Amino acid sequence: MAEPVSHLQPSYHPTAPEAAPVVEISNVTKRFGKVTAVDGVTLTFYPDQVTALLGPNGAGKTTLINLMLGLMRPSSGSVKLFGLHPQSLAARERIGVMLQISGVPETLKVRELIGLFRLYYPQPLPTAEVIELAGLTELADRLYGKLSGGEKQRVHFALAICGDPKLLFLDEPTASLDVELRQSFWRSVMRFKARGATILFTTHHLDEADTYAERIVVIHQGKIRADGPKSEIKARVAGKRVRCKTVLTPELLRQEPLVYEVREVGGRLEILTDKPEQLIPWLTALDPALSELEVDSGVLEEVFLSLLRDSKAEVRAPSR
Amino acid sequence: MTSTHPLHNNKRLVSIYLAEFHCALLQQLRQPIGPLFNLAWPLLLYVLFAVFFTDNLLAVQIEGMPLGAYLLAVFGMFGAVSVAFNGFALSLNLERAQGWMRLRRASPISATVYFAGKLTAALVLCLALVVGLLLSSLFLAGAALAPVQLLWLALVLLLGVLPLAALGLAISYLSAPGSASAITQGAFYLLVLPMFLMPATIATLPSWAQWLFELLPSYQLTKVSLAAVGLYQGSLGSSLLALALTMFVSLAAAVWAYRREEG
Repeated sequence: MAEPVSHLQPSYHPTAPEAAPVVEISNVTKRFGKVTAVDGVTLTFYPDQVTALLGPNGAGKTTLINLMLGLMRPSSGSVKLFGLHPQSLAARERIGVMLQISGVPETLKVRELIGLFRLYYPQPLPTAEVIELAGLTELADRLYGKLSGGEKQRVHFALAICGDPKLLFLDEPTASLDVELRQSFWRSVMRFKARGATILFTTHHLDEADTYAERIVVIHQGKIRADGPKSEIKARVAGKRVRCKTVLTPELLRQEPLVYEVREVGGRLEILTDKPEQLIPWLTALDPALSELEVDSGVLEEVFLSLLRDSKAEVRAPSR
Repeated sequence: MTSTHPLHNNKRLVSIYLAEFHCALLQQLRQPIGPLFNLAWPLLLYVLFAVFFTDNLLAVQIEGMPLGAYLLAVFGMFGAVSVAFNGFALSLNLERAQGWMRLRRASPISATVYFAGKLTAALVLCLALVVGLLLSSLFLAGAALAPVQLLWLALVLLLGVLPLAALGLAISYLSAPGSASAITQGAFYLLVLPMFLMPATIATLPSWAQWLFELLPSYQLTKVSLAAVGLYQGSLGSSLLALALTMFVSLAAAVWAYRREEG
């Protein structure tokens, strides 16, 4: 199996040199019978980071989140939140959680839910501020059961932030939201981030991770495949994307060692390569009528797919 | 930062408890079908048997006991079990299956305070049931019970909800989330079995069957209810002990199962 592409220490520094970690996961393994969901994971999260935890379905993301929240106990290793056991009240008073499925009672109003949750925290945000930050001003007196899917997600977010947490867990917060709602939601999250919170989120929308995360952690088959600042992860995996309109077929292009991946999108081919300066002359030699040529840096989606491929097959050799 | 001042913590706990109670009550009032069914069913059965199916209730006796008082005690027990299981335990099952408990477990919320708030809301429902039964017996059935007997019965039924609710809580949390509701409902039907059999009838059953009945907290509660209306003259020590044991053992089991739960 290929080694992880990256397991870098973040190149950025905590807000203060002596800033203590907010989450410490030390050689944690979690087994369910014969299945190892998390396998010897060690991770540390520092204050003020926005981290995206990525991985395909069944990779171990949710199990890892559950371990950090104290909803599960590790089979071995340890997890600490702010130096405390995750199940301690003192740790939980400093975190906010937005889960995929929250089961919020349908017959309570938004304001009532927020009012109830605020009581659990020693220094909660004022109700009005929570409502405003979560974009619920016009929905505060509506029953939760009468809200749309996007509005319900806002309520979940409000419940997560009402304790003014120092660490916010968002587990696939924009699943089932359309593009506009997703953007609106992330604006709310970033407004809260500006208060100085650490954010850890999971998502299958890689564009969100690409846009909002400072640090990327990729987990696959229970192991960490990559961990580091987003820019370094993308740079280390390399790859640029060449887009063009051409008569050349994907099957032909895949035979070329310079080409990592090819797919057809909207009538054009998208070709992933780490040497566009060699590939383009080769393309134009084969197809002088090639048009609409564009080159851009690798996006996180290609990086992600490449990291997953690492464990399944050998990475294509560099070009001649 | 956590406030460690005991006064602040106690004051906050009381506020949380009152808020949980308030929210649980609001949920019942805003979706009244469930609570109404839990209230209406025992009341309806009592009125049917005591008023419409019986002529001159005061004169009728069953196994030597005035039927009116007997029905009041038995249907009161039925109502208490209904409130404890259908009103309290089932609502917890639903919240657990839908994920609400998972979010709560990840939050700095005391499960004890949450359960206490929900239980208090269930007790309010039980109080409404008890008042309904007593009013029905006074104005519809014309049962001749002394006021002190009615008050004793009301107290017994209200306190009787506590061990039953604890048992419902334990059954809920000892079951997997997906099957907890079915198991809770099965337990409900088992617990209301004593109301269908007269004490003298139970005494004629094989000893193993009698022993099984003795294990049911609802059977013990029935005895205490019958004693409150003057229809049971035996010793209540073992019944009260059984109910207290049910409550404490069930609570311990529920706490253990809650802490063991993963995911």
